[in-house]
Amino acid sequence: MNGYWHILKHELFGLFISPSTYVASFYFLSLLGIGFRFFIEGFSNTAWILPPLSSLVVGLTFGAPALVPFLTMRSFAEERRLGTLETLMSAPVGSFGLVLGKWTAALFFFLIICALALCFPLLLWYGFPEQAVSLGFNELEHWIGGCAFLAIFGASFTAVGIFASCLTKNQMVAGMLTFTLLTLYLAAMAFTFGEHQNISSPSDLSQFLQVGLGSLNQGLNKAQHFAVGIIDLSTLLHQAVLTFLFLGLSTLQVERLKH
Amino acid sequence: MSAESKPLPIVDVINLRKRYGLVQALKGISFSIGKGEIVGFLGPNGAGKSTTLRILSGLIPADSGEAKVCGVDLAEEEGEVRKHIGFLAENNPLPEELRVIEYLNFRANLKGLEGSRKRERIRLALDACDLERRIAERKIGNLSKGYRQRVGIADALLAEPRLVILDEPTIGLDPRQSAITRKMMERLRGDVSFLLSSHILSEVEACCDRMIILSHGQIVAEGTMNDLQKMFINKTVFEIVSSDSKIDLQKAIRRIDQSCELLYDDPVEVLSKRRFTFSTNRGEEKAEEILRALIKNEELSISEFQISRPDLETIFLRATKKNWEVQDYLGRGKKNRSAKIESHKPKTS
Amino acid sequence: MDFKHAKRNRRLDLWIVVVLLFSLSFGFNFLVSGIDTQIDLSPNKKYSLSRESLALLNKMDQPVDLIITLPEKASMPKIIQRFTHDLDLLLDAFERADTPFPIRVHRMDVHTPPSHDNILDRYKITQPNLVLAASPQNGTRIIFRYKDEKGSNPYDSSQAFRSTESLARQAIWEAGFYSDWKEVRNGVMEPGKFRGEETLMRFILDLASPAMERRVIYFTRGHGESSPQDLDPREGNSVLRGLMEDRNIKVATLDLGTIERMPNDALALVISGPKAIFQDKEVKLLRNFLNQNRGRVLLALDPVEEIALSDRPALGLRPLLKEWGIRCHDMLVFDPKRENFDLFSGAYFLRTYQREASHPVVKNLMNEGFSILADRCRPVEIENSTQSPFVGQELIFSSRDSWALSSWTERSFPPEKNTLLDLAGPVPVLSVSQPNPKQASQAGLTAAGKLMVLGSSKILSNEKLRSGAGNQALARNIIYWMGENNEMLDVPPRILQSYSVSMSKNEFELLFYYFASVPLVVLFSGVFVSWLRKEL
Repeated sequence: MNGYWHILKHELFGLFISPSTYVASFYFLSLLGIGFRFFIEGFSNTAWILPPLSSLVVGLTFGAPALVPFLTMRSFAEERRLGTLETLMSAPVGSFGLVLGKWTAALFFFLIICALALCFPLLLWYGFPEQAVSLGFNELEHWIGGCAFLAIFGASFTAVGIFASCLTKNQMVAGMLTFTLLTLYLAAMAFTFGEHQNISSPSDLSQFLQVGLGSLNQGLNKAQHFAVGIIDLSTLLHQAVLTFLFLGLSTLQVERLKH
Repeated sequence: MSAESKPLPIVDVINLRKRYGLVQALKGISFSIGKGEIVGFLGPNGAGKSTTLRILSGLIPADSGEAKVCGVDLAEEEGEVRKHIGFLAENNPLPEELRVIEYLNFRANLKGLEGSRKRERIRLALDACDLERRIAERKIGNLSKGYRQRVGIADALLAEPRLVILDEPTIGLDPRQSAITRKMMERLRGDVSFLLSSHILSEVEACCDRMIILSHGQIVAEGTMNDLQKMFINKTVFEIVSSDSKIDLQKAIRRIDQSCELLYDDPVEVLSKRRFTFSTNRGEEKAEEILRALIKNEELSISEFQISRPDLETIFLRATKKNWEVQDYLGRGKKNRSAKIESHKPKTS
Repeated sequence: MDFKHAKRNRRLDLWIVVVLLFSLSFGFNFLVSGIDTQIDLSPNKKYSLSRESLALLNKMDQPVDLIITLPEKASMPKIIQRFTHDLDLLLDAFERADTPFPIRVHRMDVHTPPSHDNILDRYKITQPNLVLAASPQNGTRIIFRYKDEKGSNPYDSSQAFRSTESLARQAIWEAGFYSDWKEVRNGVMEPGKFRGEETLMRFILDLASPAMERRVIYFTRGHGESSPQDLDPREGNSVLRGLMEDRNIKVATLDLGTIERMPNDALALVISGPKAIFQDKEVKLLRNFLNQNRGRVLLALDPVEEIALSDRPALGLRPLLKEWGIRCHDMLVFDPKRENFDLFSGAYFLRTYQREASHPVVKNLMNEGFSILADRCRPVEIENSTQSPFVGQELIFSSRDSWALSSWTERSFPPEKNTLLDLAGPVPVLSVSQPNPKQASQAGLTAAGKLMVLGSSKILSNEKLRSGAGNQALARNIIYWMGENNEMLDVPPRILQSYSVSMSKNEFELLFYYFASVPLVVLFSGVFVSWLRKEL
């Protein structure tokens, strides 16, 4: 954990002054804003049964494969290409502290973008208070549930991004890898969505394996719970396990880079 | 301190080996560096200089052998050693978008400096590398190569390291700038040990106490300038400019010293004189004796006589050439293609 | 240490760490899957089971499976999706409930059943689109069925063409999962409340309660009551019996004086217009049936003329009625207004219903504006006290101009209103009393049934049932009410929040500019930061 705070500060500063962060956020937020506006406009005709706020959360979650690479691809790949990683490693910094610092910075920026996206409903509230109430924006538990969902999925997504960034020297490759991994992950979760299984007592090996896969298997099933303000602990913990796994793998990979 | 009463070497390397795939980068090198020494690492490209320096700075592990830096066993705790050293990597990669002061601040934080001590150390490091305030406020990406190199050195000096490892510190520096670097090392001499690698021989010759010449992953020579001269140039070389024939001259010299050999025979542009280069392995006294004898000999007309002192370049070439030749034989013997290809290079050049 | 050893160690460490990392992740995933803790942030914890349900689930003595073969597909009609959404949240709450026999929820696809340990085979379920409750001992109960009849032919007039959406709405409506349907737009009804917890609890309790068929309604005899076998066009109760049998309920008679305990198959007891006093033993049987045996009692008392009976008010049932919060004075409802009587039959019209809460027995009568034909009535009042384990409701009243005469046999006609002793109108004629779940459980009356008292037995007589549509509707409601498993009336329905937006085009345009401000702020801060970082 040596130097975690300094790495975090440095990374945040790096993201803060990097134009690519702003460009990516601008495009992402623009698209999301347009999408959300049209969603609100056509809300009465959609088959959306969850609170309208959750549409934004879903948009951010499924848009993450396009956003997270911009936040994570530079972290290790670019530093490796430039050789600054070596300079960094010559200081007394632990690999885990380094990975954790970079991951926290990426997650922090992801959350900032989420917070900016959540400004859309707030602006709607500011401009049209009655409409916001009739859209359920005044229900605090929807906000808390949505934020918790975004935070934990953001954590695992950025961890995947950091891992992809460790694997290669080319940041484009890292970005594409992140995109692919996250898309596959979301696809796997969406594919198994709704296939409820009685997992309290797995009876055979395949079920056992499926349970072990954790969030990969039906990871989004509880999304509707979060949307209505129920925090499902197992979903949070599954993502935490995933985050832990990918950060661990990243640390090992950074260690391996030295050899 | 105990270190002063019984001086421990800052760097102690025993039989270090490192292999990159098929290429054996280090073939068992051993050396040690004492406190306050400035040691230069010399060697052709691919000799293993950078590898050695990276191993010593704890960035990569060796395959076998032992290494201790500042009393820390590198094999056991390579992370620990980073607290005691300053390292300037080859090519000195720096984050382009940061300002110099921001970068140094970050590095100082990483190295555990805080508060007023941090500010003080940054100021001292900037001063030591002759980086004025105007430069410190600029973005690293916009700096010239020389300034970047100095930023890298300033970073290496930040945390009062006991050992500073500089991989090619003067590359890309103009003579004035390298003089500044030299001056900086001179100033810190005694407190800090320096280990630097370089291609520029005059540089190393000028500032290093001791040199280690590496070739093909082996130490081919080690010692002070005098040691090296003695080691490699055991023959005294002298030049004679004369209008006499080669045979007459050789005959006259052989009379005094049987072992004396003619090395080169070049024409001098003016007149019809020629420059003969002889070597003797009986030392300078013999050369002087030869001169006296030649002057006395009236049949010969000697217009110039000079005993030439071998410089580091000669030593370097000699040392590495010897190694190349050994390599050549070994390479052929082992049918080692890579070695063969490398071994042809110096011959053709 | 030699690097060789260090390297070997490091490689070993690496492998150990990799293996450890993966197995830890796997293991944690496994452990975490078992955690079903959820934090319900909604106000009143509306997504968690109510305390009443939990208390009832804790008393279950056998496991119950909930099996859902309704697939969660985006192609389903919106109302079905809404239903699956609400049901999912509810089933989760059921699964998480910490009860001795946990409710197990199985979501199955009938087309791809699991290879072994197939619960579908065990309960012989083959149809899709079902929600059912099942227990190994008591078989299955279908809670919800949705037939998506794609084959309906729009050109075949014998087959009504209905959209899947409309079929789905009907299925949902019939299942009773939702209530408070309101028209939102263009004739589309949207539910206002989700009664899923109550509905599921009812089925679960039905399955989990001891396997015993309680399908008989007993009419008492021996006190001059009207008989269900009596086909008399005026007094008999054979029409009522017919209505009961239509609902698959057996009807029998019973002399309380000759039995020691109520028969096990007794669902309800009807005491229709008794003329004689109930003995203490009979009252004890009745009390036991009502209080301990989930008995339902319908008591229809006519005004009593005999003065001899006045020392035992309400034919000796007064103490029992009083316990249940019902006061049934020996009075007669008098109405001076001619228009409140039927011109030909002389039947008295009851048109006033309970105003605020709409009880299921009178709700549709109120909505449709039915009037009830009655004869001479007596008042049936409710005395609600906060300590009482029972809560009563007065449902039907006489007209505003009427009043109840005390000691009416002695009054002259037309009577003078005695403000001190008489009861001012509207006078309640039909009242019900049910246990109040919280207080009843405190008082040890967890198995209490429910009691309905009618101020006139004629309302359900053959004559009135034949001639009065309102009476028939009322009788059906009463039978349904008696038959239904109403143990958990206190489970609050979840109010569904429906989201809507109505903004004009201009407002949407304005909203667009509002939204545009966010990315623009980002862009400008980016420009600002790069200007700050700029170097000349």
